Amino acid sequence: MSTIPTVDPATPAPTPTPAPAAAARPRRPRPTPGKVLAWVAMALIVLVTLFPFYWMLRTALSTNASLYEDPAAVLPPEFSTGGFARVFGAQSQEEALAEGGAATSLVFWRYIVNSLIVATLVTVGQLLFCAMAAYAFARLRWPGRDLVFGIFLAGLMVPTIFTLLPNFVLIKELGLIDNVLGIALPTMFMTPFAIFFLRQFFLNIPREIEEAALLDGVSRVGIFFKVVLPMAAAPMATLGILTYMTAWNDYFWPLMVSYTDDSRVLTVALGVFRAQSPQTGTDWAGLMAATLVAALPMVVLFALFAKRIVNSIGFNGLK
Amino acid sequence: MAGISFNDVTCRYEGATRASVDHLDLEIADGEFLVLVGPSGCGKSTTLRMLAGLEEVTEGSISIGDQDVTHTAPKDRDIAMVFQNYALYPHMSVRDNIGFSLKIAKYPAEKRNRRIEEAAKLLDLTEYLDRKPKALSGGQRQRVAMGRAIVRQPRAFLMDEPLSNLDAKLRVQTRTQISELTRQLGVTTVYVTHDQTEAMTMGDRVAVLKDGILQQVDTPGRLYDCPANEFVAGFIGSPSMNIFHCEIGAEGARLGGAVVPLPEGHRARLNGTEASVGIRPEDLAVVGEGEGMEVHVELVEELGADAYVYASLPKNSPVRLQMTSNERPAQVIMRIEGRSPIRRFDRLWLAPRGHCHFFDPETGENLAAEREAVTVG
Repeated sequence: MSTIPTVDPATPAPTPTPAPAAAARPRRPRPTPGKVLAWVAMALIVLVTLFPFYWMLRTALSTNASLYEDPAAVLPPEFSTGGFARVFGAQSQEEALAEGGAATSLVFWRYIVNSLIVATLVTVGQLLFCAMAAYAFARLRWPGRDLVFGIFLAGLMVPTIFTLLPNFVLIKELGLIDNVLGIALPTMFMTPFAIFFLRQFFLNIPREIEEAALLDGVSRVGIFFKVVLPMAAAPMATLGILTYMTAWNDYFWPLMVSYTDDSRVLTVALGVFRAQSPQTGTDWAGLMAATLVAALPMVVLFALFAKRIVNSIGFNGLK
Repeated sequence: MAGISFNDVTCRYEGATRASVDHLDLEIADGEFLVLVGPSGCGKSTTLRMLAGLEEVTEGSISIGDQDVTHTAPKDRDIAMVFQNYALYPHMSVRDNIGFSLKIAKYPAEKRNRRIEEAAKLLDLTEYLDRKPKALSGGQRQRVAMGRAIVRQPRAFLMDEPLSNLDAKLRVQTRTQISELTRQLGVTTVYVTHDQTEAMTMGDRVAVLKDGILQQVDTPGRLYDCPANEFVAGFIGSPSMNIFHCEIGAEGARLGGAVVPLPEGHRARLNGTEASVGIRPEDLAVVGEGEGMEVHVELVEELGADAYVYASLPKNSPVRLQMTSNERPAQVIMRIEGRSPIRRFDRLWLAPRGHCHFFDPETGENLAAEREAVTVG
């Protein structure tokens, strides 16, 4: 309902005074030197982060020959989509050689599938097993729990390189060399970080919610799957994305255990472009195109979920 | 629906020096609303949690109806509990929260929905059924927690300080709603609170606990009028009862110039020449100089219709006041009519006019056989 303002004729209407123009606009705070410095630092970091992506794109869209002639050109010295064509196997061997590409062909889709299988196995496995272990560390009472958790945390401090050889021997003994399962297995069950990350979240879930579920007739296992896990959807998603990205980008371990295209993942396969033959040098355009294509899914994933990842990690860190 | 009985129940946590609940014997009748009240750490929540099956019973047994449930799993006790923080499932809608137990019990969807909607209607939640708990106010969340309890039609409701997260006004409103609802449903209810006003207004009977030991279980009126000991006398009633330590003479207890006659039965139970006399703020009156205890007014709290006078005893007073737990020097509290001429720094003489209770100064037990008060004036 709208009301019409009434004006008492006896009282003179106030004459509007023109407000100064500056007062009408919200005043911007003056930039302090500290803020300017912070912005410059941030701009530098953004530049340093984005420049390699730009350089990859610029190199991928050039011909190999032109790259040697003008290696420092900011724009592609001679525009060509040949690099991308070689990545997707759309060029014949002769055409590839003519453009300074590698003589070996790349089974791109096969590598993508292998990468997908490995990253999915690692992510699903880690989420499930780490969540169960983290819940046991957070909620169940059993002798030696805190000691075992301490040992797990100590595991966080062991550099991955130390575990490469023992893992290799184990996978070899299991007969899983040159097998996608062999690539996924060492990180498929758990990592100390994932357990630590989820345990912190589970510790913050009010115990009463689980007790309420117990009174509602849910079993202990049911509480984990029907109440605790759905409540942990956000940290699980964060962990899932981080794990997927790590598994996708892993290079050294897959390089050690896969020998053939049957198990070769994308990161390792990119090395094909670096191979030099008597006819050609390194296929920089092809290599950069392939790297870009390989990185693209992760860039998209990160762009979509970056906020959630930061929030979730921040949330856990603060609590 | 069923009665509940605690038979000599003890709960002792591992490594604890004393039992959290010590040999508790308590009978709760079918359909009764019993309030467990006491200060923090008195064992009231532990008692409730033992009844729910969430805490182990160290000794003794608990029965619901004819069934001994001491070692029964929580889900098989047919009880529903409302938690202090409501414990709603944040990832489920109000509808799913209320119907979760029925879903677990594999009720057909149609029957489940009918029950959910009945409960929602009763609690005025129908329009919020599809919301998530985070989109509800504190009062609405509290009602969802109630809905989750009543939808199961359990044998007993257990409520663990369900109003403590609400603001003062809503608490009073919800208090009435809960009382009405449980009476309407006729379900046995055990309600835990540390707020004695809640206890007095809601309970059919109130059980007062201290240090894991049951002090008294009685109707609110009898708890107020006939406290079993000094603790109950001080805990029930706001402001609390004044407890004076004074000399006993031939004619009775001497409160300065005033004398409270001591019945023979009381005297027989008393060792020594001192007694504790409990007088509620409304049972004190201002008398002429020298006719009662001398006090110095420190504060007059005007509440409109009433006012409370807070006063101290002079150093040379023959009467001593029991120290309160919060380490402040105890004060004599007297209720007077509002807009009184009494001011800070006034010197007054007070004497009992109404009920006085006598307690053993050593054990704190009420000296009257039936805990009845002595009426003066």
